[in-house]
Amino acid sequence: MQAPTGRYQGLNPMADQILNGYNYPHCPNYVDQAFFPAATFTVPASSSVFNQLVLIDLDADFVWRGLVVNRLLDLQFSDSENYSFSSDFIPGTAFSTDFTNPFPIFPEAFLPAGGKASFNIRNTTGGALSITIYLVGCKRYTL
Amino acid sequence: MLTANLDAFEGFQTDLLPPYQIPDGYYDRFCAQVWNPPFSAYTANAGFGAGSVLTPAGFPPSPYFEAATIPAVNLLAQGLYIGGDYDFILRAIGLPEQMGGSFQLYTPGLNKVFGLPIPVRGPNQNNNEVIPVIPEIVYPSGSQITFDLLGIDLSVFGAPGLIGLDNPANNIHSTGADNPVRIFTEQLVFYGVKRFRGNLRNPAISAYEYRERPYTYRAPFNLNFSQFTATAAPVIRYSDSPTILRVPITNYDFELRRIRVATVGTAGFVFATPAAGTWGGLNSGAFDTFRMQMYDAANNRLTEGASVNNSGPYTADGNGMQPKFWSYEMAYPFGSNAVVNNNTTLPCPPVMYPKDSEIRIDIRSMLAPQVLPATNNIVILLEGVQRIPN
Repeated sequence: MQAPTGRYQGLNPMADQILNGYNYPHCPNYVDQAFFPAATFTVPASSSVFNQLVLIDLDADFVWRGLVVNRLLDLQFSDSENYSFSSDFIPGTAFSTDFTNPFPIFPEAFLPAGGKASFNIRNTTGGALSITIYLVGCKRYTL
Repeated sequence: MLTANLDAFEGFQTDLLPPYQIPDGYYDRFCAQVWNPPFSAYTANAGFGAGSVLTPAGFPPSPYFEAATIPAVNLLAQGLYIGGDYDFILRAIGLPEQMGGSFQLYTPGLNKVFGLPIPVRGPNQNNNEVIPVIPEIVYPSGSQITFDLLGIDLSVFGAPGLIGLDNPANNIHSTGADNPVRIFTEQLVFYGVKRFRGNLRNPAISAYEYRERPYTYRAPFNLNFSQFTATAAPVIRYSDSPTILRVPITNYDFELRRIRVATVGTAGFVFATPAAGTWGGLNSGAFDTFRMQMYDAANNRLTEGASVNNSGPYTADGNGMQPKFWSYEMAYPFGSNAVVNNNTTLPCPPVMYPKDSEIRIDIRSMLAPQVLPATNNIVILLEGVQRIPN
């Protein structure tokens, strides 16, 4: 195989993109900062809670690219404009508790500063459960 | 972590910027910044009784301790200093696998990275967790990587690497009948690159046009030694001299891209599954049995030990990390004789070793001195490409 040239020179093809320095493009005149907004909710036994909000800080817009939870409960979620990402609850087993392998939001969703991600959460067990939901993405600051 | 298929990735993300952009006048070198808990985390803990911390003669206080249970503690505003001659580009975080609790990271401006501290895996969850940081975070020279560890359980912190003896009959370290001596082994690793000023290239260029061919160098050694010598209870003496492996690069320039660890022979890792009640204790992980430090062809270290708060002899010289954090799943490279439940490390950018140079690896055993095997053959596989002249 010929030696890599150009943009591939210096890459380790065996390694992950992030270790190779791949990064998402950011808009001109903006700078991105990795951030994981999070909130904890409690869901009573055998019931659902609706419109639970993970709030976006006021200092920057948030670009939402993934989702991690600490407990696999059924979720239905929407963005700041109440655009729902599914027609009904997505089974909890579809989500991830692993930060190395988040549930993807693709293409990325844009949540403005002061915005929210809204969650409906269903608990089918016989006891109350708490769940912490982490949004994976980055803050987008203006320069 | 994300998948490694560059073509698929680029087809998927059509609007990506060109990868791996280094500003003009700079070059990158792979680096893993390694952090170990400070000794103060132990001494400050009310759970320790008098005499429960063992200090090896001739060494500063160290993270040896004997205690059945230790309350959970918070380690706040821990830091790894970034040296004065480079920026550190953080791209992934390797969390410890046993201590439980949670982890919070801060940017150079001390803004939180996680809205709430993220959970760290607890005892007996032997999965490494390497978290990508996207986009990468630049820690300028002279700054520090600041983080919190909240509610961690130090009593299990070092459990997988336990080299004390749970067996009272052999427990020569302990003054009690059944107190295991636990030696801290867990680490927190920040993966990324050091970014230096200069016009070097990494991996270094060769002085000739070439094509690439896969090649693997082997670094075999017999892990039948210990860095520790127990002369009399409760003293543990520690030798800080590593066993140095040198692999000569014999014919062509070699570009190192992956490092794996395997065993040779039928025994596998002899300490992978100690019987209950015997030495080794809880889930003694095979890959806690030694640590390694690697160097590039110019003798620059590829891992950087913690520069603050480290009084333990393991890390007084900033030595290497456990191989488990270099890696993820990779099994049976040599057929059934090899027992490898992980592990690869992936230096990014790759490291080029010119012809007639050598790959140096420092090995520090993590084995207890009392039950050393006669034979414990381990091979470090250094995989990459040879640069064959056209």
